Amino acid sequence: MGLFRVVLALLCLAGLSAASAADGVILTVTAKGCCSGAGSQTFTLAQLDALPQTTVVTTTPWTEGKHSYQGVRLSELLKHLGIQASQLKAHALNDYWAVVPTAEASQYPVILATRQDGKVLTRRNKGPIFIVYPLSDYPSLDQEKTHSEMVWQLDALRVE
Amino acid sequence: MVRTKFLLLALIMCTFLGVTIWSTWNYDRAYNQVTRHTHFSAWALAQLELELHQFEGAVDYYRAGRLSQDELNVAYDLAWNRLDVFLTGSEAKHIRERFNAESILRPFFVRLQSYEALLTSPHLQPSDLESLDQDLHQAMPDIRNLMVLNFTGPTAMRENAELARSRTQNYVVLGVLLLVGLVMLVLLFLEARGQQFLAWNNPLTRLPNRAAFLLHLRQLLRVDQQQVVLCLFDLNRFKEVNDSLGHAAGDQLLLTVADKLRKSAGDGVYLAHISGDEFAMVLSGSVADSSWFGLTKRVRSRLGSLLYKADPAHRVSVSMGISQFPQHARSADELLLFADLALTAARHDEVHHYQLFNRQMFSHYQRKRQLAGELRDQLSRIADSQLYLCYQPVVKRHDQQRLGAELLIRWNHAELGFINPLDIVEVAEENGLGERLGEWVFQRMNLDLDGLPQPLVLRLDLAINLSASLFNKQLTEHALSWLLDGPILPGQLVLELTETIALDDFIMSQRIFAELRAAGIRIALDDFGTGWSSFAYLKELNFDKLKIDKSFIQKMDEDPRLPVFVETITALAHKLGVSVVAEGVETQVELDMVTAMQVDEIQGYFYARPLPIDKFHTFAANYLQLEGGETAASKAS
Repeated sequence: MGLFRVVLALLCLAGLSAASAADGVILTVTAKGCCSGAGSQTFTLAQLDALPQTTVVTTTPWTEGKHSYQGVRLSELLKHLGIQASQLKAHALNDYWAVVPTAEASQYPVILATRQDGKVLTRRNKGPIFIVYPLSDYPSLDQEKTHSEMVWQLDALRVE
Repeated sequence: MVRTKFLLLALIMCTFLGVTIWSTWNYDRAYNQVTRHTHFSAWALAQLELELHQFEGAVDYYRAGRLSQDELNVAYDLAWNRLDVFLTGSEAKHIRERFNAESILRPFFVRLQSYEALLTSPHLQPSDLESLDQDLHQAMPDIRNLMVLNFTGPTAMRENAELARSRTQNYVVLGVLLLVGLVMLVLLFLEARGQQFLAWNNPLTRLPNRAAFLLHLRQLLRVDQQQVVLCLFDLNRFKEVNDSLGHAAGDQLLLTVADKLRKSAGDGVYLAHISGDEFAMVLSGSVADSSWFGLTKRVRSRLGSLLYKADPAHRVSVSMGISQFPQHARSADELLLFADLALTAARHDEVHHYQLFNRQMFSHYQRKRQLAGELRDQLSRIADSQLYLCYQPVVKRHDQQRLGAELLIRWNHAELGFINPLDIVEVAEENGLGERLGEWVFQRMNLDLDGLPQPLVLRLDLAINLSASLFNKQLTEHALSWLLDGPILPGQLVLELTETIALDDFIMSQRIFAELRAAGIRIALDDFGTGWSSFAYLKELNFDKLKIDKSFIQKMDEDPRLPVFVETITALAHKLGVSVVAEGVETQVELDMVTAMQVDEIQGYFYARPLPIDKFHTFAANYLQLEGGETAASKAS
């Protein structure tokens, strides 16, 4: 029953996230020496909302039609935390992960979307956080590598 | 040939283009197949199965009391999100449409959503989830089936087979392109080799051409001081074969000659076809030391008999000129020049047509080159030229009131002394000065006669020899314009044509004759009897005078056959209405004989040699019984 053991392990991780979610924490950022030496910092939706917001209107390969996404710019968040790194590892609730280069995030309005068409993103709709690239405004970004970096159900960013 | 090559090239380009377009399309199709249809679809499907399994597991654990409701809800939300994405996004569109996936999953999603209220209810009990558990257990095999069908089903196999076929096709295409490329390379190579060959060889006989020959000669002489014999030869009267039998026969003859040469020449002999009917043999090594003479003689005689057989009219023969290195020449250029000079001499050697270079040939050549250079200069002066005119009196038996004179050119060269008049004409003709020489004669005559009393001039008839290049369509026009500045009228002018001037085109000649006659200028046929076609000339063209060559006149009293010619020719001419001049009359006997034969005019040493203008003046004044200039003028008035 190897599969079940794996599932169990996954559920333990999920349990941790669920516990955090209960406290309203939706994002944990981890980086060596960041956050006044704490090494990591958590964010609730309200805390993220308090940061400058950016809106991106785009289509994605996983949705129908164009939608408006709103959230803090990834570069803005990194600036806020004083993190300087060439890339980040973005982790999702479903244990998907992707490496996101920060250069692209500064060049284009790449956002940690918390709202779609004004509505808060839920886990059932790629929430609580969905990394959105402006695919419609920059067709050159509309490629498989970018798609793989558009992590949904994001719950952690780590600099390794 | 060029057209075929072009078509072939166009065909190859079209094949290239077609194959490339097809290949690109095929590759694109295969790429889409692999990425869109297989890669992303597989990921979406696998993630769907995984997250539904996780939810199924979560439900089981919750029912066993080992998982909280929050944790259960996370798994529920993840499964919801996954189903939503699978049923909505463009990435999963392809897989959604295959194997009825949408019709299986859509109702399942609706069914799963119906448990929302229950799962989020604060009063949820583990026992409430039995029907959800059953639904999940029921649905999972269908989803598993989708996985199996997608990865191993017949469609998947067909797609794999298509991919494999596409790969094979791409190999074939690459192979075809490679082949076409190779064919083009080979064609290019052959073309380049052909061009290279043509650059250095005669296309007809395939022997090395002039450029290759010169290169070979220079390289040969550069090696060391070895003996080299250069033998040039050409085919006399080859042009006549081309003209009469056609160029195909001429080409065939050249091929036969080249073939014979290849067979006759052995080791140490380099053959070349250096121009139309001119060939070269370069002998080096031992052949050049000992056996060159025998070899060249043998080649000459073999070619001679070959040509005799090949040309039914036996017109063509071989002339051969030979020069040696280092005996004669010091360089390749000299060797070639000397062989060329020997060849020119051989052409004039009617018996052997074979000449080995000697120093006289070179001095003759140099002399001609010197004369050519100086003649141009002398012709640019009139009064102070080294050239001058002599006037040989021609006595009219029936009209003592008039005197004829033939103008003869003389060149008293500062270094070389008197130059043979024939050489002067030849040098002029060879160097494009023929027409200028003709003009000079007219100008000098005008100048000479201006110094003579007008009454005397009016009683003269003056004969000027025409060189070949003067006899052209503009002759009348030129002659009239050159006479304009002088003291004589067109009616006093006689133009003398020799038979050696090849009047190939009788129709054009007749037109020129008619024009001259209309202008009042008379025409004489000079040196009658020395050419090959004297009677043809007489038949085709209307001459005013016929001058019997001195070879018929001199020693008439000794050879009983000569008077027969002279008498008959005179009678014939008179019947044709042509008056007759006897040239070269030197003795009283000859004079008596031609007089008896009714010859009209007499020229020769018996009366006078060719005289410079002042002496001619005296002779004419005496003959016409006129005293010096002024006396003559007063008598006339």
